[in-house]
Amino acid sequence: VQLVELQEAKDRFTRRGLELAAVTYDSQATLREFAAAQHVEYPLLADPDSKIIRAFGVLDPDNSDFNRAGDGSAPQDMAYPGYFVIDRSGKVQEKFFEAIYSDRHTPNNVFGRLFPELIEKSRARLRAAHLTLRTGQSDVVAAPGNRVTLFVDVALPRGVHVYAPGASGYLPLELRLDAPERFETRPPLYPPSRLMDLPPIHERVPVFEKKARIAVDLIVPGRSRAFFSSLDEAPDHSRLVEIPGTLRYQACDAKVCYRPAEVKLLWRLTVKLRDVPRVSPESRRKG
Amino acid sequence: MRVSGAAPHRAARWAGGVAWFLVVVSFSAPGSRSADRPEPPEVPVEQRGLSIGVGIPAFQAPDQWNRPRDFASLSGPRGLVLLFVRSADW
Repeated sequence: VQLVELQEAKDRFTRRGLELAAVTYDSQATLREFAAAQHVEYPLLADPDSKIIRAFGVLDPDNSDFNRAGDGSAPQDMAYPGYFVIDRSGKVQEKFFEAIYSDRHTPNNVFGRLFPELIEKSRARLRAAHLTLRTGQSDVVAAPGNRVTLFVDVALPRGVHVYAPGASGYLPLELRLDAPERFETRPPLYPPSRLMDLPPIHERVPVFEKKARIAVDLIVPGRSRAFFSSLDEAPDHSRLVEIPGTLRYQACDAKVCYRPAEVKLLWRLTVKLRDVPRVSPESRRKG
Repeated sequence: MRVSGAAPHRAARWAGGVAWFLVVVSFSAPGSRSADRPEPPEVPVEQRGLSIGVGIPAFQAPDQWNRPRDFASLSGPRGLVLLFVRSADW
């Protein structure tokens, strides 16, 4: 599924000068048939001895029966799933791996990390007290185990600031997601803040001015049989999931700090099962 | 215990598969109430793979068209996104 998802996102990367390739422990015959069937146009590299996988340090040491592909007869030594972004000089610029093998960054999630300004945002701007909000997300459709980014862009008028995390004694900007059952979230990511001098009270406090994006990564359940079953039984094998969130903040200007405010936000994500057929038995790796 | 591959489409298959159900039952721990796949031990993800800033090792491998490929032949003007996956035939 990841290989197909990456094909669907290919043009976004190549337009930015980044080419794509993937490495698996499969044979060249397996990859040839898979690529033809799934219309994969970027290079799929066969690493049947797991040499490249070892050289990049991403060999999954779990060779138990439950960590085998295919029908269980395939050889072992697969890779941890994840991405390296390598610059033109051959140095690792970024990497995106998950601690849990079944959770995977979507290609759009990776793209959003590399080019945050290019993620699609909602057209609607939400006006709240002393600021304007706009929500967005890396993906609108995701599969079980996918990691997608939800975010809110906060735009502040000139002269207005909100407090950043770490501002003691003040109510900092805070985003909380009310994740649906079995969904997981990662801690919110905030942009760098600026230390503001407050001479009258001899304090320096971290603040956000002009704009700030708060992003939270959401992990769609990837190991829950009940969740898979609910999708399997749903029409079109998909479910629309709503993820409510709350943004809390206190806006201030040079003269006054306004009352703390709270805004309710909502993201919608379609979770869909995707079934990619296996290659023919003669193209499968043998043990 | 890992019940099967992580890819959702496989899970879809075993959701309705009697054979898989029997496998799950036979490997479930006694007294286990949940059929969910338990989480494997947490691995320090930042230690996984080459570190940021490190040069990658030279490599060569055939692609699906049986062309030998190395980094120079794969990279775009701003570099390469290299995805490692478990298997295309999961």
